Amino acid sequence: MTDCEHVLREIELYLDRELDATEALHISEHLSECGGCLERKEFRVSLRALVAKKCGPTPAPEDLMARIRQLLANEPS
Amino acid sequence: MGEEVHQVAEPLRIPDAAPDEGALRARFERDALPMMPNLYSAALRMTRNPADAEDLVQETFLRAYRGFSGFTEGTNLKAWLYRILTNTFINSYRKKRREPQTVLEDELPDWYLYERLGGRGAVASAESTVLEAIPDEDVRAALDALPEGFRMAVWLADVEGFSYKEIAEILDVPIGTVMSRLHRGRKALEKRLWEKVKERGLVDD
Repeated sequence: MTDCEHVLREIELYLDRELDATEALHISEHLSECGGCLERKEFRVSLRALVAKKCGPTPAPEDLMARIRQLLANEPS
Repeated sequence: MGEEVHQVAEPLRIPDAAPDEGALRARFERDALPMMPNLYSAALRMTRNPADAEDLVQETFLRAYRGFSGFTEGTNLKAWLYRILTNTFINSYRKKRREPQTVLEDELPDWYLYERLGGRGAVASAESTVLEAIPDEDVRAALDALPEGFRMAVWLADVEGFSYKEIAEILDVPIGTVMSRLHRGRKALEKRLWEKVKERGLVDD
């Protein structure tokens, strides 16, 4: 397996910050030298940011917090 | 990610509670209630229905409050609340409203969307422009179209920023399951996003 294949296979774990430090460093070093892998990595990063932004928090109904507080107030302490 | 919603706890008036019980209530209001907006969003992704999401969040906070004396201060409150949310959803809602079983594609190629957006050479900005042009509701619909276990794993990781270990605890599955759901779920999401891109005519075929 070439280094690129290895890096691209690990990129998901890398972006999830689930690799150990040594392996993460290896990926970082490869990315700093390999434009192709870097571009794919950047694509993943922007895709995730996009999903997070577009699916991000939907505002809760205005009175929901008040209703929850009311619910808790009725609970025995 | 995930730390954005912090509100200042409101002053408390609990005249007739014993002091330590009052303290528990105060701590709950200070620490747990500010996470309500996040939990509501997660509930909406789970139920895919605003009315059910509201009920689910209310029931979650009620259960959390009742169990709060068993929560160890200093451990991960957010993950604890999400765990209760998930359990409540499974016990109360999924039974009632069985969602049609959607099947996930067996195996999609890695880099599904990247390849289709013609991501070779210096077109990274074009990709993001195309993706940026997908309306928010389409992206939500694409996520909502994933089977529940995959949808929640992707949501918890990519929107809420939870670690694999936390997601495993929240969904009560092994870490290996979290990894495979994320891997397959993200690829399936890419495929659905690609379908939206084509439906909206954002690329030339």
